[in-house]
Amino acid sequence: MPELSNLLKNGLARASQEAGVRPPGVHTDAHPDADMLTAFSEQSLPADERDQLMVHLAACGECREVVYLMTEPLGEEIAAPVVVAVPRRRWLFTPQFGFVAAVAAMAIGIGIYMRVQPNINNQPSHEARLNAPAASGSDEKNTVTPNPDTTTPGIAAGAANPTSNTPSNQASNQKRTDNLAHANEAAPANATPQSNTGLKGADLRSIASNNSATNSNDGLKKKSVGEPVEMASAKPARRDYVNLEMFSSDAADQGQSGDLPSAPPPQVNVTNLTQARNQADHGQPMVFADIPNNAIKQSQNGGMALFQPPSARQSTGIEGKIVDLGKNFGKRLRNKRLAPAIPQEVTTTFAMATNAPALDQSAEAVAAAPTQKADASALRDSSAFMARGRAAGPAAGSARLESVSPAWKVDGGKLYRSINASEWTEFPAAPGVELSVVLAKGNDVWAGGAHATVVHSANHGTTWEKIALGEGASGTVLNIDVNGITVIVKTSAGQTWTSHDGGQSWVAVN
Amino acid sequence: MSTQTVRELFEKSGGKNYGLTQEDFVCVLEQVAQKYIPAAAQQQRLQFWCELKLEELALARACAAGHDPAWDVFLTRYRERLYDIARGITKEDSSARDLADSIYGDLYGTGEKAGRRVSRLNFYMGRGSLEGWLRTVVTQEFVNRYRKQKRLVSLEEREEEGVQFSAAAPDPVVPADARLSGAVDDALGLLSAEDRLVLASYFLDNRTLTEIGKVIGVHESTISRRLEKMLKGLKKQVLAGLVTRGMSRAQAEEALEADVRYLQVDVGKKLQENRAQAFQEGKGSD
Repeated sequence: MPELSNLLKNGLARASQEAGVRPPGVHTDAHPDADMLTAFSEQSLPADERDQLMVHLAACGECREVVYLMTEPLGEEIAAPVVVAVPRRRWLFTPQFGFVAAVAAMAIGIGIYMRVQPNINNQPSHEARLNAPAASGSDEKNTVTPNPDTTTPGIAAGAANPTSNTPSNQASNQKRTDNLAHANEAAPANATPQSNTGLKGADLRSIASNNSATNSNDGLKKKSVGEPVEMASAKPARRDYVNLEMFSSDAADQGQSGDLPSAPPPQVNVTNLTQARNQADHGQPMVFADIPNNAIKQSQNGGMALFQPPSARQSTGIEGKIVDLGKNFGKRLRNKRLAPAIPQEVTTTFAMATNAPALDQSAEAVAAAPTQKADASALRDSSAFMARGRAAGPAAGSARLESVSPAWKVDGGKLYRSINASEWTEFPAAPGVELSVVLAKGNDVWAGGAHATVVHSANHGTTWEKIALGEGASGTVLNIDVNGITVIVKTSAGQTWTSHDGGQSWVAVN
Repeated sequence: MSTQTVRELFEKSGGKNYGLTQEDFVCVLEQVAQKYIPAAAQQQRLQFWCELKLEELALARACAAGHDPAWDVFLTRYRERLYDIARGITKEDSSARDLADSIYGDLYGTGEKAGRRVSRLNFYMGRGSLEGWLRTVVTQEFVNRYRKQKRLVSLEEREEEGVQFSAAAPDPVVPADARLSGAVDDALGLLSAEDRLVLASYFLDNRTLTEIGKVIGVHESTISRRLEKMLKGLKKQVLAGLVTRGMSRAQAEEALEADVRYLQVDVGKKLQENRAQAFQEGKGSD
C-alpha cells in the first residue's frame, strides 16, 4: 500500500475540521445519535442517510472511533477464538505415535508367533491325551519307576506319540537330554537306546544345570536328587527344576527366557533363541533355575504337581519385556482358542494316578485310579472322570462332554449318531415312530416324535427307554428342554409336559 | 393513520405482552417519526414505521415505562449481553462490570424529571436493533470515560513520563506555497464521502483493512484496491491542480516530493489539535 503523503494527510485533517454536513435527524449538534450509528453499523440505513452519515464520519474522528469500537467482537466472541484457536494435539497422527504403534504391533505379532506357532505344532491331540495313560499304563515297569516319561505331563503328552516307547524315540529323548546339557553344542549323534534306560526324572532335572556334563548318560546318572549342582556360572546356590509347562505349551517361553542355567551367558542371542525354539518345537523338556529349595523335597515324591513353574520369570531389557508381552498375549489367546479339550488338571491327575495316586487328595481321584489303571477308555466313561470334569468348571466340563459325547440328529424321522460329525449311524431308538427332535446332554439323550412319543437314553444311546408322558398326551413332540432333572416337553397339540424327577412322572402344565 | 394499520403494527410489536397499550404505542411511533422525518407524508411515515424494529421498540419503551413483564424479558435477553458488550470493548472484566452496571442504572433510570423516572431507553428509536443500540451506548459511555480519565493525569505521572525534559514543540511550519494546499483540498473535495471515510480511517485512525471493510460493508481486498486507486487519482489531481495554479510539471512534482520534509511535524500537530478539540466537546447527541 503506497503511503499517503503528509500533504494529503494534512489536507484530510483540515477537511475533517471543516466538515459542515450534518446527518438528518441531528438538529442539536454535529454528532449523530446512537440509533443512527447503530443503523449504520448494521447496514440498515437508507442510502441517502447513509451517505450523509459517512460525510460526517469522514470528518469526525470521534464518531469514527465509536463506530469502530462498536464493531469490536463481544467478550464471549473474544473468548471463543481462544478456545478454537488452541491447536489440537493430534497425537494420534504424529510420526512418534505411529512409530511406537508399529513397534508395539511388531512386538505383539512376534510374541504371538513365537507362542502360538510352536504350541499349535506340538499341541497334543485330544485322543493322544486320552491314550497317553493307557500307553503308559500298558508298561507296568514304567508306571512304577519314577521315569520322567510317565511322571511329567510333558512326557505324558509325549507318550501320546505311538512310537514313544520305541527305541528310536528313546534315542530321541536321549538327544533332547544332551541338548539340554549342552545348550550350545550339537546334539550327539551316537546316542544309543540302551543309554536311556537308566534315566531318572531327578537326573533330568539336574542335567540342565550342569554345563560340564558329558554326552554320555553316565554323567547324568551321577547326579542325584537334590544334590547341589555345580554351576558353570559360579552360582552354586541355584537349583534347577523341571518346568512342567515346558512339556506342553510354555516350552517356547522358557526357551526364550534366556535364564537357562546351561546357557553360558544370560543374554539372549540368536543362537540360543533358535535352539530353544527347536527344543520347544520338539516337545523337549527344558529346565530353568530360580525355584525355591523346598521344592526339591517335594520333587522327590515323583509327583508332577509339585513341580511348579517359577513365579517370576527373568526377562531383562526391552527385548525381554517384548517377549513377555508376546507371551502373555499368546497365553491369553491360547486359553481362549487353543485350550485342550480336557483341562490340564484332569490330564495330570490321570497320568499321575498310575504312579502316585496318593498325591491327589480327592476321593474321586482315588476312586478313579484303579479304573484308569485298567483301561483308559473305561476311565473316560467313568463317573469319576465325568464328575471331575464337572468340578473343573462348566466351561471345561462342557468342552470335554462335547469332545467325548457323540453328536445326535434327527433326519427323516430317524435318529442318527456320529462320533466324528462326518459319519452318521442310524439308531433305532423308537422303532416305528417318526422322530422329530433330539436333545443330548452328557450321557442323557432325549428324543421325541409323533404321537407324543418320548424316548430317553442314559448311556449315550446304548439302551433306550420309552417315556410315558401321561394320559391325554397327543401331538408331535416339538421341543424337549432338560435342565438338571427337570424335563419339559412341548407338543404340536399345544401341550406342555413337565417332569421334575428326570422323567419318572409327568405333569401337564396347561 | 388508519386504525387497522395501527392495530397491525401494535400486534406486530407485541407491546401488549409488555404491558403497553395501543395508545402508548402510537405516541411512540409519532415521536420517532417526528425526530427523523418531521415533514414526511402519512404514506412515508407508514413505510418508515414498518422499517423500524417494532418489537424491540415496544420492549424498550415498556421498560422505560416501568412494566415488569418487559423488564423480565429485557433482563433475560440483555443483562448478560450487556456484560459481554462491555467486556468486548474494555477487554477487562472488572472494568466491563463497572461499565455495564453504570449503563444498566441509566437504562433503569436512576434520576427523576418532573416526578417521573427518566430511563435512557426512552432515547431508543428502533432504527437499529436494541442490542446494537446498547452496544453503541456502552461504546459512547466508554469513550466519554476515557476522555475524562485522560484529563486527570497527575503531575507525578507527567514527570515520570519525562514531560519536563521533552524538547519544546517547534513552531508550525507554514507551507511555502499556498497553491499546494489549495490543490490538495480541491482533490480531496472530489472524493466521495465513503472514499474520504476510507482514507481517514486508514491514514488518520490507522485502522486495518479488515476493520474498514467491516464498517463499510465490503471485503478488505476491495478496500485495498480502492485505496490504491484513490492515491493514484489524488496524485494526478494534485499535480493537475498545481499545474492549473501556474506551476510547471516539474515544479509540481518537486513540490509533492518536498512536502514530506516540512509537513511531518505539522501533520502530528494537526492531529493532536483535532483530537484535543474533539475531547473538549465530549458530548453526544443523547
